[in-house]
Parts: sequence; structure tokens; C-alpha cells
Amino acid sequence: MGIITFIDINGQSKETIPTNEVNLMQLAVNNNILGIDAECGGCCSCATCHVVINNKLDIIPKAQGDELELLNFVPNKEDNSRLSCQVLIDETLNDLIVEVKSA
Amino acid sequence: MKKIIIIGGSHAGVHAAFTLRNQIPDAKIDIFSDESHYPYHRPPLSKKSLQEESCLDDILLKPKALYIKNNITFHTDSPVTNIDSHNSVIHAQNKNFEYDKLIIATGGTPRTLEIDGVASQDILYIRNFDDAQKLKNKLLNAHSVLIIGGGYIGLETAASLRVKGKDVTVIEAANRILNRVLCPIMSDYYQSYHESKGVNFIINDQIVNAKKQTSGYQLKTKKGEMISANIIIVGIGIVPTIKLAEEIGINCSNGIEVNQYCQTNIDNIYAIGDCSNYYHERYGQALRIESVQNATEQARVCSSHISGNPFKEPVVPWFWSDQYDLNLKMVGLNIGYEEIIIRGDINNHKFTCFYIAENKVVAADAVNSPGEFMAAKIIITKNKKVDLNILRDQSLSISEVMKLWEL
Ligand SMILES: Cc1cc2nc3c(=O)[nH]c(=O)nc-3n(C[C@H](O)[C@H](O)[C@H](O)COP(=O)(O)OP(=O)(O)OC[C@H]3O[C@@H](n4cnc5c(N)ncnc54)[C@H](O)[C@@H]3O)c2cc1C
Ligand code: FES
Repeated sequence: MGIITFIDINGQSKETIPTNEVNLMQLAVNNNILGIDAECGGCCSCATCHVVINNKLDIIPKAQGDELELLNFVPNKEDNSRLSCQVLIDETLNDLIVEVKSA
Repeated sequence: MKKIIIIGGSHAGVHAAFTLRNQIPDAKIDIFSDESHYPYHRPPLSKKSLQEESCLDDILLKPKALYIKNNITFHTDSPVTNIDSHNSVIHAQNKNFEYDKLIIATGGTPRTLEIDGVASQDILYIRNFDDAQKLKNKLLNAHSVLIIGGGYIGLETAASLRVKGKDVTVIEAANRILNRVLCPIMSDYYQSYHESKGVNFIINDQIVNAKKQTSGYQLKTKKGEMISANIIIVGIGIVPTIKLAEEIGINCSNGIEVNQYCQTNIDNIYAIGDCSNYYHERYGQALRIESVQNATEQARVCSSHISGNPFKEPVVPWFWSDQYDLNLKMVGLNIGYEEIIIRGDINNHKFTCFYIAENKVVAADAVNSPGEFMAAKIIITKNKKVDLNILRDQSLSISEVMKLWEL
């Protein structure tokens, strides 16, 4: 597995290497990335794991369903906003850059 | 170098530790926990992890290695026995530990119940991982379960146990379930939904005594009903853990009293999470709130105060509860509401109750409606008097409502 880079809420970037994390929220939490509070523990209830992913758009699907419903009301939502707990990790995410946004 | 000690390693304490680590890179941070486990998510204990095979690792708040990596010393099996605020030390592991700043994040313990005829070890509670394990073991040989208390924990447990095929009875002393937190419409809705899944309810009644049977108990209610149950679970609320604070003269009343920065009346001692009675500027009153969001928000506020970062008021309180396929999200405070406006479709199990007071939306309960929940959060935060007919108009989407309200 390669490197996934987070840009935290203060603009600091940090490279991480997934071990056994299932989704991007867990990876962020496990690396103490500032701005990912993940209050609901990943059950798509809180939107405190909001990120924007502007690269690798071909392999990162857009938000849909409950995730999209939550995101539609997140104040600083962008086109490529996702809830990181809903983005599953696999090898295709190598070199991904994930920008942390506040909920 | 600042020495920071945190008593209690759960949602509040752990969030404070990691936030502080980011804010004060060279601080010495120690967390003392009386549990033998590393910190874990509590909400799944009555939900997913009660229904499925699961282990502690599945629900850990952070992997163990992360504490070491961030130089946060986590002491398991280390109850703090007292605080000496004159010398700024706490006592644990038969030793003294010095602090510059102390954070009390001791949470609460279940309110206990005695039942005439039932041995106290046969009354189960769900507060921590060990409680949940004990319950899971007992469930292996149990078919019928009595749940005392129709609050969130009781109802989530009821749902989880129905999913596992157990016979479930819920007894509630008040005249409706969830009466402390939801409006009657929601209480009725939740009771009917549980009934449709096969839960048996006894409302407005209490257990008076019980007789031991070969496997479990035969219990009698005040109104004379008889219930047989292999297992008895009690979920009637928690009592905040305030002893350490009380002993050294910190003001307590329904929790440890703290100001908007989470400070107690002793300047360098803070209290956060379920144990704190926090002064909410937004509401002009002290409130003790039991939720993960409240724990993390107060952790953030207290960390900022310790590290000298600017104060940012906590966001409006919110909470979630999962029962069967119903995801409920509540936001705001519905104390003193005057009217309810319902949007969505109750029959389709996708609807939201808006609580209104003085022409403002003060709270909302959203069932399977994450968008309405997020919208309600914004609406409630703005705290604006609005034309309610717009909200009543179901042909408008919630975003259109917000546009018309200029929010
Ligand atoms: C079964 C269950 C389901 C829940 N579901 C939800 C939900 O869906 N959504 C939600 O928002 N909230 C939910 N909650 C509530 C939420 O878990 C609590 O609000 C949250 O855990 C509060 O965190 P805390 O850190 O303040 O306190 P706690 O989690 O109670 O932690 C306090 C810790 O301090 C320890 N401690 C106490 N005294 C000492 C001492 N003297 N020395 C050392 N350690 C000490 C305790 O053992 C404990 O480990 C649920 C709670 C339970 C029990
Ligand atoms: S962690 Fe709550 S929505 Fe992602």
C-alpha cells in the first residue's frame, strides 16, 4: 500500500500509510489528523469527518444517498466533498491527497 | 513544560489529550483510567456490538500505538483516589503525580435499582465494555429479557435483542417511553415501531418484587402484571461521577459545575463530558448533557483554554440513536417548546419533528432524514424568528425553506 496525504484543517500536510484501516476517516484518526473529529465513529451521522478530494476523481465516486444529504448542508461543501468514513481504502488510492474541511 | 493530567479515559478525556498534543507539542500528558481497557466507543455497546460478534479492537477510539506515538501516557487499571489541590497532585497507583492543569473526565455510572427478591449481581447494566461482555455471555443461555427503563439505552438494547430473536419486555415507570427527551408523537412512534418488531411494553408501571425461578425470575408489577425473564437489564439513567471534585470543595450540582471554558471554581482544574454541568452561553444556563458530541466539544473548549487558543462556543447539542433500521438524530434543546411541526412521511419512516418556541425552531428529531437534520442544525444555530407557514408547506424542500427564511 502506498502513501495517502492529508492536508489538515490548519493547512499542514502529513503523509500516512494505511495498515489495516477500512476507510479514510479511520486512517485520519489513527494518524491524529487535525480536524477529523469523527464523533459518530463512522456511521454517517455527524459529518465531522468532512474532506475534499480533488485528485483521482476517476476512481473516487461522488457522494450519494445519506452521505450526500448530510453534505448538502455542510457550510463549506465543495463539488468533490466526501465524508471520509464513507471512502473505502484500497490500493487504487495510492498517492491520494485528502484535504480536511470543517463540518 | 506543562504537566497535564486527565482523570478518565473515554470520549472526553481522550479527545482532550489528542487535541492538547496538537496544541502544546511539549506538554507532558497523562491519562488515568480505572478500566483495564484502552478507550473505546461506548455507543456501539447497545447497538452493533451487542448484535454481532465483536471484539474491543473493533471499537477502540484510537489504536494503542497512537498514544505512544503522540507521547500520551495512558495508565490502565489506575483509579485516581484523591486530588490534593493545594499541592497540585493526584494520587493513583499508590503514588503522587504532579499537575499544572487537571482535567476531570470521569463520566458517570448507571443509576442502580434494587428489586426485592433479586440478587444484585443478577441486575445488569450497560455502561462499559465489561458490562456488555457480561450481558453477552448471559444472553447465550437466555431467551426472555426484561428491560427496566424506556430511555435510549433501554430501547436500543431492546432493538438489538429483538434482532437476535430474544423475547423482550420493556417496563417504563412514566406514562410514555422516552418522555424525558422526546415529544409524545415521537414516543408513540417509537413504541409502535418496537411493537411491530415484537417488543412487549408495560407503561406507567413498576416492578415491586420478584421470585427466583430455575432460570431467571418471575417478576410482579405494581399493577399486578407478572413477567418471566431469564435476564434483567436496567437502564434508568446515570449518576455523574463527582466524588473526587466534591471532596476538595469544587462546586457540584447535578455534576461538576464549570464555566463556559470548562473551568471549575479551582482555576487549574477543569471538568468535561458527562460529569460536567456546563454553563452554556447560548442558553444562559448550566446543563449537563450526556452525549459523545458534548464530550468532544467540551474537550475542545477546555484544551483551547489550557493552550491559550481563542474560545469558540460549543455548537448546538446533538445526539443520535440507532434502533433497527431507524436512524434518529436529535439536535437542539426542546425544553419549553410550544408547538411541533412535522415534515416528511411518518408512515414511510422518514420524517422530522421540529420543536417551535417563540416562532423559532429550537430543536428537531430527524428519523432517517440526515439532510433535514443538518439543515435543522443550521436553522437552530441561527436562532432567528421565522414564518412557520413556510416550514409547514411540505411542497417546499428544506433548502427552499431556508432560502425563503434567508438563512
Ligand atoms: C450503551 C451506551 C450507548 C450510548 N449511545 C450513544 C449514542 O448513540 N450517541 C451519543 O452521542 N452518546 C451515546 N452514549 C453516551 C456517551 O457514550 C457518553 O456521553 C460518553 O461516553 C461520555 O464520555 P465521557 O468521557 O464524559 O465519560 P465516560 O464515557 O463515562 O468515561 C469516563 C471514564 O472515567 C473513568 N473513571 C471514573 N472515575 C475514575 C477515577 N477516579 N479514576 C480513573 N478513571 C475514572 C470511568 O471508568 C470511565 O472509563 C451512549 C452510552 C452508553 C453507555
Ligand atoms: S464519522 Fe460521522 S459521518 Fe463520518
